[in-house]
Amino acid sequence: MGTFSAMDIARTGMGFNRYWLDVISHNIANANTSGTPGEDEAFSTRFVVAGTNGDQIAPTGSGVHVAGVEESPVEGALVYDPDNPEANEDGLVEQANVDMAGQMADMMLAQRGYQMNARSVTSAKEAYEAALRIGER
Amino acid sequence: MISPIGSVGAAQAAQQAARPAAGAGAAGADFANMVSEGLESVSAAEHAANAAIEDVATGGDTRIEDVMVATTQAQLGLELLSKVRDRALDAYTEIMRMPL
Repeated sequence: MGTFSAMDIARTGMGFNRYWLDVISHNIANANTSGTPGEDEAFSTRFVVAGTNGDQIAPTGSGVHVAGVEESPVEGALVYDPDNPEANEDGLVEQANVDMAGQMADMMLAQRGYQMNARSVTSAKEAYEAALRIGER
Repeated sequence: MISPIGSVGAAQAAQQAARPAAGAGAAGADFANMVSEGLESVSAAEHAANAAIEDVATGGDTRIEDVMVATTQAQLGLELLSKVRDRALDAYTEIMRMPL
């Protein structure tokens, strides 16, 4: 158990939410990455999996880590666009399966999560500073 | 890496318990050890913070939240050490002011 457990734990939360934001940016950036059906896969939305840290910094645990990144199993929409170089012999192009509204909602969650963990760090610092003022004249 | 600072309080308690039995010389050495151990761990925290800052400045993998937490921990460690020193000096000057 470290002296500044709350800070270290909140730092893992900030790291996780920052990674989540990175992945959301990647999804949004690839919203137009199409592919040829059956051959060249279109972009598939990535989802971050959170996992609780096993090794103990504090008696209550030690925060969160990125347990993995999963790809969405949903098939991308097939769009008829025979002029597209990625079209197959039927003239179909597979679109990326990025759900923009869902990604924007996730982005708000990740941003708020990052801010909450930053506030945890601030609160922990204020608490430690209060402890340092004990007995001050 | 900062956790050794936690032993400062324990060392102080042990030192106060030992003082009546051990005499002035041993207690002084205890206090010097405690302060130098505290300085070492504060210095380690500062080095960790410096390494994180340098890594960010040179485009490394360290993230800003890690830097800010490391620098905050170093700052708090230094504050704790200086408070302990002030408290010990206060006690010393209080005793020196005692009219004999």
